[in-house]
Amino acid sequence: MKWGKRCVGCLRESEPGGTLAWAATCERPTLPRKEDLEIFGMVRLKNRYLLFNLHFDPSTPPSVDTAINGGTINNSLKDSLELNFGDYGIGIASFTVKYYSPHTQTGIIRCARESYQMLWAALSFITKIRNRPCIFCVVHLGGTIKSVQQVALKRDREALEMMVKKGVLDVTMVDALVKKAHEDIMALEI
Amino acid sequence: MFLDLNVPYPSHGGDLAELKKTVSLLRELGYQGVAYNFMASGKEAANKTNPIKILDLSELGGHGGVKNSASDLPSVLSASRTTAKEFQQLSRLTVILEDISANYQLTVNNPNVASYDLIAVQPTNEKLFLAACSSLEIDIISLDMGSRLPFYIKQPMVNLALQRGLFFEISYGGAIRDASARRHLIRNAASLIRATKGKNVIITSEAQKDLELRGPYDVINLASIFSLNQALAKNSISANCRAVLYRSATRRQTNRGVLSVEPSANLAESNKWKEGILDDTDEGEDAMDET
Repeated sequence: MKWGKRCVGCLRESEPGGTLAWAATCERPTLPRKEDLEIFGMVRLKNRYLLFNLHFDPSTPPSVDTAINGGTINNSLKDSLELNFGDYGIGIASFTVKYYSPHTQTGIIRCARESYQMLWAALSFITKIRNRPCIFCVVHLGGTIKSVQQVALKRDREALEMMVKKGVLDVTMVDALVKKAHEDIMALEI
Repeated sequence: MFLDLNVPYPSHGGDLAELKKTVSLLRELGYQGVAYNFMASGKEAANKTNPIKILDLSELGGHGGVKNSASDLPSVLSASRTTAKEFQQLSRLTVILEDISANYQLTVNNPNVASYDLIAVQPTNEKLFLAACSSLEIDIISLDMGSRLPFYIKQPMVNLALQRGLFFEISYGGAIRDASARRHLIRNAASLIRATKGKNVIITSEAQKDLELRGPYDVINLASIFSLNQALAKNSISANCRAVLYRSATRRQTNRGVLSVEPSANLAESNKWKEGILDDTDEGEDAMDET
């Protein structure tokens, strides 16, 4: 369907030969709903979701470091993007850290599909966060949040049990943490 | 199956604790094999015995005993018989070539050189690069990509190497260590990939510390920065690395890559009948002689 035949807002026929997507007499001049856009064959914004794992230096005793959160990861990733890909990199590779759990050291990053390789490379070039040496290891790359959620949940319990084995967490805390992580992960949207 | 064919071996009595940490992280990240690299310059290679000791991974983390290398190594040709879970450890020699007139004795007949699983060279000028591509009996050509290369990588030379089934190495460790090495690496790797069209390239870590390693899929993605596409990048840390092992096995264990000889005592039970045939023909010939 061509532009101008129908209004995006109210889906009514617009005046013949009109080139605007909005009818002049539109009663609903708000943003179109997703479903409406699909009628018009418009493509929605496509994303990539990276599920990553943070490895710290194994010689330091393992601990739950709450000083590292989504915000700190966001900042160091931004620095790495600027260092390696310059202003262009920061501009083109938009991303957000959707989730990070200091208990399991896993997190989810959303970014635009076109530039995920650049972002991933910037992630690989990070060597330390808050002066703690670390490695980012991407364990899953998904096109929808749902696929990433499923992998994240699957890995979550394993990771927590590993932390118990290492003596960082108490066994009694695990169930509560699993429940909380489950709620947090499932609460993520787009 | 992902392999990392270059982890520097601490020479001159360096401590193995760092190496052990590296290996345990490699296993955690999902690699299934490692080659310990010993760098030697010039004549040293031909005269020095193999210093690499294979680590005892069963006690990894503790103070494990150390076994001796080459004899304990599983034969590469029989690798299919070992289970996939096993972590393969190999030894590798990298010789820095500096003098065109020197004879580096990189042949199987030199017992010191033959004791390594993989032989690599690092040519420092164009003539030596040509020699490495066209005539030397080696597996891997490694270039020092952390600094500016003193020559262009020309396609005719690279084609010679491709025809002989040699592999080129890109090590990403330097790029993670510092920024200027990163620039050189990206440029050199891109020019190498342009010349080879992405074929016969292996990507290794050359990690001096454990935290310079990256996971296999992260490495595949990094290769996209070097203008390698995803399929070729995956081959460069899995299929091509296995190809290098097979190449080195044929170089060491066969005669001119055609024929290998094994004692008949090594025959599998199901193939024992072949011995019988050999005996019969011998007798037959004897009988012919008598008549």
